[in-house]
Amino acid sequence: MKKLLPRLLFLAPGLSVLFVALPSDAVGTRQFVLREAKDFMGGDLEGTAIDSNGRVRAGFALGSVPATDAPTVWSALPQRDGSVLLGTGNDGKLLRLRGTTIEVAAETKTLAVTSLVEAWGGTVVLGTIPNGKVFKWEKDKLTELVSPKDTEHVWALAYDAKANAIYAATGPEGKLWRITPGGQAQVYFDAEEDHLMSVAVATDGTVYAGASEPAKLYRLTGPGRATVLYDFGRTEVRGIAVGQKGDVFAIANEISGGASTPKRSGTEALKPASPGGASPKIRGKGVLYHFDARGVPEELLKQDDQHFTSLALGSDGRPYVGTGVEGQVYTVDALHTSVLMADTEERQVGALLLGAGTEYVIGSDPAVVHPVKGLGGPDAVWTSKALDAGIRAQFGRLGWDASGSVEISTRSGNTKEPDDTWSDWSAPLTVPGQVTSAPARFLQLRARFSRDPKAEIREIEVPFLTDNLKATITSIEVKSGATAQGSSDGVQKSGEPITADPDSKVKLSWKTDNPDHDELRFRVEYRLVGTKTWFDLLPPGEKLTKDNTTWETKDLPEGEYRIRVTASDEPSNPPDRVHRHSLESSIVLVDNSAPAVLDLKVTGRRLTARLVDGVGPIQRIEVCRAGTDEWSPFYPADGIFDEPTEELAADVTAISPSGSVLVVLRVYDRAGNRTVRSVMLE
Amino acid sequence: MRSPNLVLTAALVGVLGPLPFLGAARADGVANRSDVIAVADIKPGMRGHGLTVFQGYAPERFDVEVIDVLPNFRPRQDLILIKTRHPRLDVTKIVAGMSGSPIYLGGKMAGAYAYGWTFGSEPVAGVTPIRNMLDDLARPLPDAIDGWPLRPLPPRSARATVEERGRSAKTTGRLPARTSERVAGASGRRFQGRITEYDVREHTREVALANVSAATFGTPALTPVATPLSVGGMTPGAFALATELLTPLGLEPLQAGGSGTIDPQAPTRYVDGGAIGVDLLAGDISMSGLGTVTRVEGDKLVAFGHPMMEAGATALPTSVGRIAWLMASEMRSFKVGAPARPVGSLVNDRQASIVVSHGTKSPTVPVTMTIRGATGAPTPQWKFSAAHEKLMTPMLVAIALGSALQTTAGERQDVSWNLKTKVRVRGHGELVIEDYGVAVGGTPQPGEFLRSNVVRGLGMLLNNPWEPVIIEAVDAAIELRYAREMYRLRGLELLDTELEPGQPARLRLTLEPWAGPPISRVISVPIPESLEGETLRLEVTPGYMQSRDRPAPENLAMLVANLQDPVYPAKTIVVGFTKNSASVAYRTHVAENLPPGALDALRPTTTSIVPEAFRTEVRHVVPIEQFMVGKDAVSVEVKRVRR
Repeated sequence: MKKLLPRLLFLAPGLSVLFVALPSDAVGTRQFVLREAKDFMGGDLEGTAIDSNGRVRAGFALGSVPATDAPTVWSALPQRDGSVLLGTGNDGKLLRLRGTTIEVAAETKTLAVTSLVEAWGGTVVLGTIPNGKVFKWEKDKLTELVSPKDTEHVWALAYDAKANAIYAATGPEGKLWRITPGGQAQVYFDAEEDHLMSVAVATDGTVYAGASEPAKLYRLTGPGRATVLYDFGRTEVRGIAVGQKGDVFAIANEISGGASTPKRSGTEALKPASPGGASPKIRGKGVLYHFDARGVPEELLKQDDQHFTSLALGSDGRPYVGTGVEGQVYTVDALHTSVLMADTEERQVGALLLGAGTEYVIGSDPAVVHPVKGLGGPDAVWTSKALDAGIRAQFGRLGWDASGSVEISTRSGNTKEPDDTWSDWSAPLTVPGQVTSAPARFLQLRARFSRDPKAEIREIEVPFLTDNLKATITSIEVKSGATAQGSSDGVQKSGEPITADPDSKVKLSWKTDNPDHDELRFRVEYRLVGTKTWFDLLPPGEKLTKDNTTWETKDLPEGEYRIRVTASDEPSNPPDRVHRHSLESSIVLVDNSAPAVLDLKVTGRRLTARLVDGVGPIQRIEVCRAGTDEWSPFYPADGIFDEPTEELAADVTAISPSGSVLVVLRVYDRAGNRTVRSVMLE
Repeated sequence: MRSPNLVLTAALVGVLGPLPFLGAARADGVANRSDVIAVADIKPGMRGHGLTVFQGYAPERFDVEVIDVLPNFRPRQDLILIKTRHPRLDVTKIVAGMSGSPIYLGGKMAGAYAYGWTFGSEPVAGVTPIRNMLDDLARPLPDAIDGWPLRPLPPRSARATVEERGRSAKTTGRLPARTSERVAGASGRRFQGRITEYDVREHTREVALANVSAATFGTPALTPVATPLSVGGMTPGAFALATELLTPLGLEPLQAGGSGTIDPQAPTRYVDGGAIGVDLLAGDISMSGLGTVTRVEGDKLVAFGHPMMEAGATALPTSVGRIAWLMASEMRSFKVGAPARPVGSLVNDRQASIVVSHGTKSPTVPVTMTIRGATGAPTPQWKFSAAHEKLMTPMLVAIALGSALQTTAGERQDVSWNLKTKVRVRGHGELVIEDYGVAVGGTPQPGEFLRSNVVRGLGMLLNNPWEPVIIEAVDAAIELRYAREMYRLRGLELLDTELEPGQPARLRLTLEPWAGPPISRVISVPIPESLEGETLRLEVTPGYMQSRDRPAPENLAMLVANLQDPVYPAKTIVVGFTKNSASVAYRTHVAENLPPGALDALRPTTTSIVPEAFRTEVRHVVPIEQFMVGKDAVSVEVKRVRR
């Protein structure tokens, strides 16, 4: 089953906020809620559709006839005898579908039959690449009609019954040729662009041609009489369709390609052909525009994650577009409500035939013809993507909002892609009821429309309760100048410049692993190292649910402390199911008083003193001439900062070789508390 | 770099190829022949005689005495060490060309004179036991080798059917159905490198490495008595090239002679002890590997007592040899001789012997060369045939073309030349391959032809990865002009640094001819209007350096097509620039300048058989009078027009 990627449908007003079908809240019982278009996408559509308003309803019911003689389909043409011709690549074959059989009708010996059109009372005309040949196929016989001058590629053909001529959109000269039944070709329009990729003729004889690089839509009212109907600011106009009222639909893409291809080496022409590897999956952007009879443009559909490859008007007058990445078919109405009508397994929709009585969606890469068996129907099924509860869950009462009668079944499993380990589909529910599928991480929904083909599903809800898993505290971080912790390299430094100011408020934060997303409550305690009693750090009655707090230590005895954080999932679970987990921090140093400088004496240029701190070791000693702010560090007498009490014996000659000068002594402890003393040198 | 896939494939072929024949060894009661003596019965001191041709066609006796038997000298092959006694052999000691001379002990055939020491001061030789050789004789052969039937011609009553199949094959270009079912893995070793990088020297190296006997040749060890290649009609330069290339394969070119005609006095069948030649080249230029027939049995015979190139099943023309003299040499003496009458083919080249079939005809490539422009030269036409084999054909054609050119038109002055060669490939018509060049200071050396398009093309065809190929004829015509027809590109000048959309770019090329003032040439390069706003890099290259965009070949027919005019004409300049669009090449098509959406549709993701996509390059070709050497580039801006 191919997975649809969630995508935005920009056309539905008021749907700017998109709903994600994930657990609806971080409490014990949560819900899968499928309400918006993207919630319903990602699964499988069989005879069902999803519109941009988030409704699941009847869509194309498709058959499937693989065309094994070609990998890609560029064009299609219904025949009067009920058969369908397919213009294919990459061997330029013309295939014919009869019933459920596809046969090779003709081989053009070209790369691709890009376009097919019926003209002149039943003659099939084929446009091909390269070498720009136009063929005609009559009575199962293929003959070359014409190769317009300087034409390498014929991208599109259109028949003008009134003028009894064919228009051929070509490259690389960007010419539109007018071709008569006898094969005479005349330039009807010469565009500035290298390629005209699309062409269509209105009943009044107006010709529309779409260019590539840039994407311009031309309107031609006579030979050489062209005006730009619209400049899309994109790469190419891929398809044009003219409505019965003379209004025009056009698809245009933003797509890259040529610039990323490598320069060819000189030996490729003699090197035996070998596997080409996987082709890059080009993902362009597509738009569908409508132009009324006055030429006023209106954007109907826009997709930023895939481009459009085919366009057709349905018998209902609506435009249908085939996409170039996921092989989907969309339509859109006048209210800009778009509907995903079909989702094929192929990469692209090469052609759409949606005329009255002749309805086909033709997939390309690989080539598969999908006859449209109808809209909805008894076999219409919508299947959701696998809904992920995150961990194993039991499911509650399935509810939905639908017009008409639908049947919904469920199945569950523990793999992301449904496989043999999943449960069978449950008996269908015709009214909301308990999900009977076994507890599992993933749940999939399937809705059948057999009871009421016109039914629409607007919303589905499935409550679920995951297994209660323990939340664990994985780390505690303490931010304080007094924290007795090593540096990042595991080596605590002394004697280095101290930049942080001491603060009695210690910032605590922690990380938790909360697999079931339960709401958590945290308790925080402290104890003095060497004692066993834990004291609440939080004020009485405070319910802490965030993962950080601040600890005021100014009124605490100085010393080394540890912090304990306990996580509890009690807000989400009844008492008998509550899990708790605690973690202790490393040592936190509480030191809010500055070191004392005792017995400070001056002898010549030598300072001596005894430096004493209450808790931590002396961390730094520095001296400067008063007013200079040029501090010079000094080591204690024993050369190492390792004790709360250190002796100072500093020769400050280097700071002030001679004369009377006031010098300042500054002493820090590890918490960053500092004492400043001054002394006069004579 | 060699493709690991090719190496793997080759390894698999090497392992799997011989499998069908394994069970057939010793299938016809070799040990039961009453006229051969088993090695176990040979004792030191036993005396006997040998047969070889000392002069002319008739074998003569020489006496031998067994020194000892060396068991398991080669894998499952003993060696009988003998001392020869004959007035001439007492002088010549070990003689190249005597390989295969039958040795009889007690009136029974013991084996073939086959091994010796270089610089040996005694007439002591190694004898390959006849039993091993008869094992080789008994090995079944594939029906065809690289598309060429190997079976001897059937009796007349059945021949019509075979000939009918042959005609059918010629008509359709396909192998006869029966033979195509059992085609031998290789006639000669297939080139292991990338086919686009086919190189005779590299191919030779590969074959030499695979040939164990040849790899040890020239060492003090007891080695096969090298097969003297009797060379006739070849210039010293070509002879030196032949020596360089063939010696590592265990073949020893010797300037001898070869008439290229049939001697009416020559026998029509081989006899035990008679001289035999394996003809790599025949005609105006000849090259024949000389040895001696050991034993004739019915249509087939064994000879040499050691391999020639250990190629396995093969098809090389053979002939009855005529010996002129046994030339004494301190290093190793050799027989001087020449092929006298083509008879049969070498069909199996094995460790203990070569197997020759009287009735099998092997393929050869008839080659002609016409030399024009050497006014008054006495021999402007050359005709010869080359062995049809993956390595030998391109190598021999190069050597012979070089020799013929030097003979007819050897000069010390500059020569400009064009070589147009028609190669007829069975089932694929005629292919024209062009070469050209300016040889400064004299006629092109034979070695230059190793790199020629025609020789590389022959190598590519014969070593193609798709199907056996039969080269039916090679007709070369070289046009010489005694002048240095060559421009050197001095530089480029852009006459308009900024172009209006659609305005052609004008370039002034300064070309320096040999011995003359520089020539200025202004060329106008059309620039598509759609390139407005872009900066183009215009690259000027000689036409012969610019490959045409063609799809990678998927079969032999496409390779044949692509070998024709693979580059632009030699006397052209190509001005090229890339566009920001893609082109694709696929099967027989090249679709250029594609819009992005079309490229996307042309490259399906569900198959790896996809068109090759590459950047579109626009090329403008300008004819010039002489070859150009050098390349250059300039950048030009095309204005963006505000509308």
